[in-house]
Amino acid sequence: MSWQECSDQQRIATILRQSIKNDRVAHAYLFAGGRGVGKRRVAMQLGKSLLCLRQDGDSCDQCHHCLRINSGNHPDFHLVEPDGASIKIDQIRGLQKEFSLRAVESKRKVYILDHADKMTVQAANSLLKFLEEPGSEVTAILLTENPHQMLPTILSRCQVMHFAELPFEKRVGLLKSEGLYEPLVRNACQITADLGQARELCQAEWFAQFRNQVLQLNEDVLEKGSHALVGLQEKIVKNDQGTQGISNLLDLYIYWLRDILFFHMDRKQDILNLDQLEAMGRQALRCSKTWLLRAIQIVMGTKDRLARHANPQLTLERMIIELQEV
Amino acid sequence: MHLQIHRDQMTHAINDVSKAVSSRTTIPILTGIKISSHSEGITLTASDSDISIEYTIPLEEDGNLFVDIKQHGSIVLPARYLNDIIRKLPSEFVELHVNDRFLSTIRSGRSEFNLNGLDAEDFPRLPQIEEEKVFSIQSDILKMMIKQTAFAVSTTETRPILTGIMWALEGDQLQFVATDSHRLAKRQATVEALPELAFENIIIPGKSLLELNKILPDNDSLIDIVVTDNQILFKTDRILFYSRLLNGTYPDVNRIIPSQSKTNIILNTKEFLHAIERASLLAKDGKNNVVKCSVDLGGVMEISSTSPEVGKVTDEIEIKSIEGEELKISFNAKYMLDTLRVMDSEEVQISFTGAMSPFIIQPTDAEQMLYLILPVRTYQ
Repeated sequence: MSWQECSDQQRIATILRQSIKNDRVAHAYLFAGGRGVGKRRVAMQLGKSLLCLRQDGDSCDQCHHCLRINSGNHPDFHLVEPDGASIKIDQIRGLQKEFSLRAVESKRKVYILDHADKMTVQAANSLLKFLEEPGSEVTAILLTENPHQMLPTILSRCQVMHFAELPFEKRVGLLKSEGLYEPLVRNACQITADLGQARELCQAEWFAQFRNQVLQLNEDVLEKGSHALVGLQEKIVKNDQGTQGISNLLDLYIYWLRDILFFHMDRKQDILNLDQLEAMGRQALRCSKTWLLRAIQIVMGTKDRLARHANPQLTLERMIIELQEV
Repeated sequence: MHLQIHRDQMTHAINDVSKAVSSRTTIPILTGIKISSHSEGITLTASDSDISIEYTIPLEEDGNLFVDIKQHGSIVLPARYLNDIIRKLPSEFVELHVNDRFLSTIRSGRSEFNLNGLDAEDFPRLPQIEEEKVFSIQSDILKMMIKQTAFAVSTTETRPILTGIMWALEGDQLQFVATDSHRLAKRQATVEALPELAFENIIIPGKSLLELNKILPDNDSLIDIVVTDNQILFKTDRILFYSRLLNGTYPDVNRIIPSQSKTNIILNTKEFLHAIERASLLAKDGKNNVVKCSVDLGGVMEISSTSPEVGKVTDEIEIKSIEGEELKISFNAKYMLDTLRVMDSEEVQISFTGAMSPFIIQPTDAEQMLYLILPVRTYQ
């Protein structure tokens, strides 16, 4: 692998590559970013580039340094991962002992601390001194999903690199490859940019149910009867997820309305609920583009009001009435 | 790779290199022993990344055939199994065959083992030796020097630099210094070296040197020593011993060695050692193991120790000669015992500079050794 292959994190790859080229590599980096954004890959790549025989700021993946980093056998390259639930102080001590000695082969030593936020307080404190006064050419790379859980004293000693979230299609692809249902994945990835959160949503049963309820709700709204209000009372206001659930449900509603809009405009590639094209078609016949735009506006306004602690039942009922009166 | 090796030679080699195999390591390749063949024989290498040991079995010696190479190559085999397998094989020769997928076959007599090997390319590279940067020292002197200084290295990791012995070479004088900041040991010896080889601040982990001590022969054969950027190499007839160096600058110890003294006494080493041993019997369990010495000009030294819960001990020994003023001083008995035990001279000279400053212990017959102990402050 070379820097070119870190295309997901082009910005960071460029920064790191330039700093190696200009010999301005920091002594400690903190890579912060959600799960699956490629922190570990970039960290390995940085390690390889620093130790590679070619020394031109990139890795060749052919010299014995690169090959041994790939197979985990390089004596000057250390990867520390949580032992059980946390990174223990003994692991940090081992690292400190290792780094009190000179490098085995090259002049440089690299260590990666994966899930650095999972360090115990003792481990973090014993790392401090050593992070602050690196002996010789030592490069520390700390990886974390929660930079805010790191001790401020550690944060202040590292150069923090924020990893951008993955693009929408990439996230969908990743979750799809885990065997999750695509329409759900697409909705979840739209609601949250965080891969882990999206995964949780897709796996939750209530999330799938909500999607069906949204479909039914719009059907009822379009019927113009009082059905919608009854359904609202029975299923939605009394859901198990509380206010957060309602917010998710409204999100799903917005995306459903948007799907109908896309259906109208024949932009099928952007539709999230790919499995409901038939129902979408039926509903599309009964509502105009203007209504859809107005409806989306109303639902968004409702969401906003709910976030400001309005009474959920009254707010939702008002939304239904407004929708039916447009 | 295809070769035949004399089994006893192989066992011997594995025994020696096994000392460098680490049982638990994060680097999988280091659990193995690397075997590689070359035109002069075969070489076995093991490493725990702190120390590495290389053992070369020559093709033949004194007309005895040790190794027969049919096809060159190298392989890393798991040390845990290799050791036992070779030791228990039935016949005089061992046949080793490795295919291109690192599957090795060990055959001897009628038994056959198939062992999964690892790629020798993954094994750490040892530094190349530049032959002209060599200096030599007799094996038994080196062993003695290590023994006489290694006990003083620090055992805690708070200051990693103090876990090593500092080597310095100036002219033909090689100097070892070890300290744990409470006591210090310094030893010098004459070596065969070119003047341009001089170095200082080469710090070798005490543990590595103790390991080296187990391998060095007890005779006066010459050991070649090479210092490289990251490692130091010791070379005997068949064994190459590499140790990594500690990173950092060793504290300047010459400043803490007092140049003048107020009280100088000479004692019989054995008598003094025994007296301290007796005095420390009661204090042994206590935290500091403190014994108190009082020197009076009448030529008697009183050694005493008190542990309030246990009891009290007093002992007296004769002072061979005394100069200067009377003195009462307390110190940690363990430090004194460690020092006296490595003394090979019959008499020792102790130079005090007051009850609160460090004192020097030296053998009377050699100026090449110097030990320094910091006293303990007591309020009695």
